Amino acid sequence: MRNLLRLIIRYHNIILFIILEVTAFILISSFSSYQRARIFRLKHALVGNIEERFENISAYLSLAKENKSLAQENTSLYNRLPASYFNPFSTGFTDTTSNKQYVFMGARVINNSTNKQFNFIILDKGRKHGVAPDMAVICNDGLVGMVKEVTENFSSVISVLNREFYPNAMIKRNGYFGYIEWPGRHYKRVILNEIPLHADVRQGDTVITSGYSSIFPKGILIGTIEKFEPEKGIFYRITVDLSTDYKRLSNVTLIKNLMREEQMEIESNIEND
Amino acid sequence: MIKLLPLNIIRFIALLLAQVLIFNNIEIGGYIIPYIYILFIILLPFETPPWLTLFLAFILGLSVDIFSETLGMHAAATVFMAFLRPYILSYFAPRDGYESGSFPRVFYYGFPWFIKYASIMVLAHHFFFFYVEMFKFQDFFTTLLRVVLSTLFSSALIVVSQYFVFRK
Repeated sequence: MRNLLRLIIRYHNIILFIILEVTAFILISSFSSYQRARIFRLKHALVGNIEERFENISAYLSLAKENKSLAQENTSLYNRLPASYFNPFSTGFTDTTSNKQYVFMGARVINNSTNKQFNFIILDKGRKHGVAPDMAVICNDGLVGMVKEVTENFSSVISVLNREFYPNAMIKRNGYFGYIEWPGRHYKRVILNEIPLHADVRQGDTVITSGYSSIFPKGILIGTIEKFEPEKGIFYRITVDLSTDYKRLSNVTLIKNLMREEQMEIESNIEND
Repeated sequence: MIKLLPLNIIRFIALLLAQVLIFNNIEIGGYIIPYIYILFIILLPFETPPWLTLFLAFILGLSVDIFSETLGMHAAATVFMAFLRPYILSYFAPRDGYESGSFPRVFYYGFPWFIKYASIMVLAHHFFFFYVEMFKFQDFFTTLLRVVLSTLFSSALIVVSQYFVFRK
């Protein structure tokens, strides 16, 4: 016993070092995205005030840009209004209850990062406002990510700049589809995988979401093809320049798929067979 | 000696805020991400007992973790660096040891000594941190490049800070 005590005193630094490292690694491995939302609340209570001020300043500085992009979006929405089409068979009213598949909701980004390997975004809308996990998140410029966890007032979004997120994507011009992967380097570059070598790929081609998952509607802009090279095997390795600028993300739109459960049901039936 | 405690508390808070509010938002080319809060551990007095250094490193790392939502990663890396500190210090010690009443600063031991000491400390931290962040050895060389470039950048910032902010 005395020897043990002496041993502990002699090696107390190494023992303490090991204890602290083990504690740290337990924290790392037990850290889930649910805890991320909770720890965000703690942080919000501590420095939320200061951060909000910083956020307000940067929001104020980008007001001009923001206004311009909102005006552009408004015009494009006006162009899509039924009133702007000529329809001789119009009955004078539109059915807004039955055939609706997607519901949109605006939210503000209150925390964002681009310099980690697993980046997340925090939004100021939560369960209280109707946000649920697996909702799609987009902005004016294109795809942003997918809701991962929600708390009462906040939600955490797994961003495209996250090495565990592989959204479906397709080349708009010819319809070949694959999936997007972030190699963890530059915040504007992602890799489009699984496009076969016989596909006609050109530089500058638009890449959009394929709509083959129940999360993202088809046709959301992801980016343009910057360069491509054949990789060993039968696929291209295509570098895509993201259209969304994650460094200055402030207003985003959440998309809820009202027919998601129905789609999931039929998909799970296929898997069961 | 009595002045040391409040000084270190202020330094702790100042570096934490600087890291969280300013340097966490810096990212150059996807490879350079500076972590300068470890300057707190680098500048601790020579007489600080190793166990206290370890504890302070853990608390500092955990605080940065809470603000950057990476629970445990900074704590692990900073504790690792703090563990190596006594060995690094004794390796670079002048022939007749460190004078009492002096601090690990450019002001006391000169530029060459400080840059060697600080950059090895930063390298230890960054190496540990970036590999823990990846959590696997996939993309080994990309991460290594990130470690090297970030170490150069953080060390440069830390050395420059010695001439402007922490002069004496």
